Amino acid sequence: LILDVKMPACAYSALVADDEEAPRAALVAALRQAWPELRIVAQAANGVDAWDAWLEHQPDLCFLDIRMPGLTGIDVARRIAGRTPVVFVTAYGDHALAAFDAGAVDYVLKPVDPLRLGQALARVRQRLASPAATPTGLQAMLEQLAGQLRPVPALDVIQAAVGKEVRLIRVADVVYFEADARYTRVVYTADGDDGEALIRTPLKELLAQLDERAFWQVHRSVIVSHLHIAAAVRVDEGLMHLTLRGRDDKLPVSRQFQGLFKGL
Amino acid sequence: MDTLNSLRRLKASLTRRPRTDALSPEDRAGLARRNAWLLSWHGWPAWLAGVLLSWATTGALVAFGWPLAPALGGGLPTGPLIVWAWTTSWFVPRVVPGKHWRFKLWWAVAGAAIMLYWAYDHVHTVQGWQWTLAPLILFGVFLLSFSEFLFYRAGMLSAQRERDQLRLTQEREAAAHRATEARLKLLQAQIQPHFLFNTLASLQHWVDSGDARAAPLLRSLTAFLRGATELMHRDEVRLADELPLAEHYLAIMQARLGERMSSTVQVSDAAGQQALPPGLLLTLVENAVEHGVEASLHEVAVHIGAAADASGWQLRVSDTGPGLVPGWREGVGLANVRERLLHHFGERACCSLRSAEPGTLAEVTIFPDTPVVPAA
Repeated sequence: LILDVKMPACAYSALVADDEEAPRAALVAALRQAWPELRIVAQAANGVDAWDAWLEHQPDLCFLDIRMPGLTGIDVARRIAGRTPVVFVTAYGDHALAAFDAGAVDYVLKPVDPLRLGQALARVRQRLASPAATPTGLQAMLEQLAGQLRPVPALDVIQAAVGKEVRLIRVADVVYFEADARYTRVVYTADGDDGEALIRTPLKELLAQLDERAFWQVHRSVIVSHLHIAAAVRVDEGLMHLTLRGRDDKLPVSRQFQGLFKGL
Repeated sequence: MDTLNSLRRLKASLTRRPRTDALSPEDRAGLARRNAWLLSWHGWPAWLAGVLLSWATTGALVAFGWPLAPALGGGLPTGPLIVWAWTTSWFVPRVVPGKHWRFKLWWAVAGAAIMLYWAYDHVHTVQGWQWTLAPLILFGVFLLSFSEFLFYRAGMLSAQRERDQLRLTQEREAAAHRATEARLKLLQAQIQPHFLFNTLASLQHWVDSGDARAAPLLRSLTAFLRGATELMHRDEVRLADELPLAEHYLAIMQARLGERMSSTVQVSDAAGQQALPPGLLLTLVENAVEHGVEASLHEVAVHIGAAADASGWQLRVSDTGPGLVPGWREGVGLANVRERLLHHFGERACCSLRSAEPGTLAEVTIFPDTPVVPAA
């Protein structure tokens, strides 16, 4: 709290993600040097942590490595969808560089050169000052790049220990997943029977293996099968929840995901 | 002065540019072949034809009443000229324009011969040695066509030989080119800029922050680069020679990835003596690290194993990573491995990549050169 008081009110917050420890630490050190007021609110060691941290901290600015396990930096940026400026951090030789150059995307090369970092930061500051200036075509380019990267293993069956038995749950039967401490609660309906199970895979890891078109993340801790959504109900300015078909459960929709339900 | 100038011009025109420069390389080669042919003993009919034609023309001119000196001046060059034109036309067809040049030439010579013969019969001044002239001319023409036959037979044979030689050379050059290219590609693939710069990024940070991990990483990187450049230029390496390279690579990745990776190596002495195309083991290890370790959210173990027995030997590189994704496609690295195995061992080698529980297993099996004979 005392630290917060010391911070200038306009201090921006940043997320740094790199799956290797040394380059991540190097970037953090270089950022502290080049932009002392920037608060680094989260450091992520893989793509799923990066996305989770973005949801949790809502940083003003992200530095994403491209090749990361779980979700790639491209995947994370695609999910951020231009809501926060992204600076990619990558080593020379990455296939994405050509696309970045063509699309005027901000990036810095590893090992980080302080001068180049300064130039990239100057551009980002401009972008932060006028938030509307998201490069056009960025999202389309990210979609295309994401398709070129390695295919994500599509999960079809989940194994869950329930008592003494190990249940095999078809992903197609799942209604929703909910984060529950270090576990994930799987709510499913198979052959007319409703069931629930706890699995050890954290929700943030699970989401990287699910088909995005069928399973919508609506909250940092909720992923729901879109076929089971009955309605999205706006409670007040910031609050929205989902009702499900044939169920009493209500699922929260956090602000970042309310754009999914625009009510055309 | 004028004479001197025209002499200079003449000299200049003679020395400026040999006429053969205007010819295509093919024609120049043809001229060289003609000269070589004329100077070899195969060219005897042409020489003889030249002598006979000179003799006969001189004789004919004398028979027509020319004094001896002009007759010699006109008759002696005729043979060499005809032989020169004729042989040139064989070797350098393009020098003589026209589609049916050889028939024309033939008819011209035959016509000249007939006219000479007719002249003898009518002039009736033939006396002494001159009665032999007409048969000599005909014999000369026959010799020319005979030598043309000889030449074409020899020419076709040598052209065939040359074509074979050329094809062989081209094939050999193409193969050498492909091999060099494969090696370069291999070297490039082995030392990817991405790998290098990522390693340098860690190194830079540890140097900057005075971390003790910098020195061993730099040593591993140096050893890896040295080993890679040395090994990739060989035709084959013993597994035991490439193993240190793979271990340097693993040491670098271990330093970079820390607890995310562990590795073990188990290669028997007999397997270590076996030869492989260079870079093969390294490619498999890199694949395991890139697709197994780096793609995984959890700790992954990489294992290199090799064993030999009577039925051949086997190299296995496995990882406990996410395994093969449904719908995965074979990458450049593995395709390269297959190609080089095929090139090196033919049907004796096979390579497979499959899901292990958990992770992925790459397996290369080399069967012995001679089929194993079961003991009686």
